[in-house]
Amino acid sequence: MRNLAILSMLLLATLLALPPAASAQRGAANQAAGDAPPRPGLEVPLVTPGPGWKPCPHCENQAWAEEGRKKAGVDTHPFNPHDLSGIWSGNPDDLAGNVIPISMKAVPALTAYGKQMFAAAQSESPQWNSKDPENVCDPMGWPRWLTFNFGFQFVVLPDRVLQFFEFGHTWRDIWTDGRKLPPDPPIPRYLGYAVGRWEGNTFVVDSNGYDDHSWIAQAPAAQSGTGRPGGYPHSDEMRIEERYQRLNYGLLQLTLTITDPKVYTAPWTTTGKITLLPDVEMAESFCVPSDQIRFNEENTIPTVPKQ
Amino acid sequence: MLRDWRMVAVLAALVLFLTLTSPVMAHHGNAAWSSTELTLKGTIVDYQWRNPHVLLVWTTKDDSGKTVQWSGEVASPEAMMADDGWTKQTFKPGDEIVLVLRPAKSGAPNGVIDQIKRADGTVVMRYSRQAGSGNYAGQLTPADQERRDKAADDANKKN
Repeated sequence: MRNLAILSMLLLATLLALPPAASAQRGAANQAAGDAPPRPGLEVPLVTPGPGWKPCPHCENQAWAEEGRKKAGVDTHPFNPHDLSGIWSGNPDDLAGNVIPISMKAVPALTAYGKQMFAAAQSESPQWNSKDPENVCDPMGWPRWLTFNFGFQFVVLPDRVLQFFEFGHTWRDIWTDGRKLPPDPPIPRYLGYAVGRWEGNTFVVDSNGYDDHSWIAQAPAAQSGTGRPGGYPHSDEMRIEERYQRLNYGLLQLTLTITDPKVYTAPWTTTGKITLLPDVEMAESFCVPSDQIRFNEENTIPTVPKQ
Repeated sequence: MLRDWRMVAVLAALVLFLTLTSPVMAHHGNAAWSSTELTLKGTIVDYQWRNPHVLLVWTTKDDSGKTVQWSGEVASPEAMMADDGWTKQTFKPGDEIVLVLRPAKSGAPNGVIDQIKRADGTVVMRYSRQAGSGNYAGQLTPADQERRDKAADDANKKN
């Protein structure tokens, strides 16, 4: 009997360690086979603008992403480890989902200054993240732009690597022409100042000079200590190291380390794999302030119970 | 023996609860929506095919016969295109639909839509990415669908 109880506890612990089941913009991932209902996307014809036009990462769902990867033979296709070109979107567990979520298990303790910033970012409501900069289409900043919806495209040029993002329809320059990071960047940037270099088969990107208005990630209500959601802040002294390694044609390993001693007492590291979506094109996904604000006012704020 | 099995049942219920109520990270959380489903028959007034989320506006008759205007959201246009083949022409004002939604906790006539059928029973959206955990693809059992179908039939007959 005691063994049964221990077994049950282990089962509970294992299930609790699983990642969240879904997010509103994530795809229909991890659906069990067998008697489960068919996955959406297998039930409807593919919609494209017309002959010659391709679907996009954002409109890819799990089934089509799987099909595209299978068709390209991503596991066996030859590849150049120093060529990161391509559209990288989703992860092996959720091909239609976000690229890589910042690890919520690795959040370091906040400094006294960090606690003040964290408190200032707390929402007024348990039901709505009212202070999220995204509510008014403010720039997501780095690394949130990487982790937010729908992936990115690497374009490799002789002197830089361009990283285009579908959400917000924007890009970042990663300079590979030998320049060093500015020791005291004159103007803070939402996407910082970034330089890249190769260490063997790993593309290492160092960056600094960040504008402290953006968040690293949303802070879920359950983790904030107040029952209200908010955001994990950063200072203008934040530095980030990203290490990209192409494991095969269709898989990119990323280790991202945030170091911000003004706000966090230790570095904050996230590791994950990102999937290539061959044969797709980037969509236009602007955050349009007038649409977003109208949506908030007409559709989101009315749903929030009065405090 | 009985006590142990009771404990297993309690733990299993706890696991199920935690699995179905995992945090949602997106444009906005879904904590403002009730977990109780409502099935409504409605007539489309407006179809807003744009970001951040597609919005449907419809009128429906409440129990007293009064016409109430509702609005409800689904996922982004491209997600709706990918999952359900929607286009900018999928709905037009006057279309009759039956919706399963989870209404706002505030009591406003507003909700997140879980499923949409046309009045003739054609499924326009079977699952919803936007509905979040617990109500989207893979978690809708045949029994859930049967319950929804019955509610939709009842709503259709009512008005």
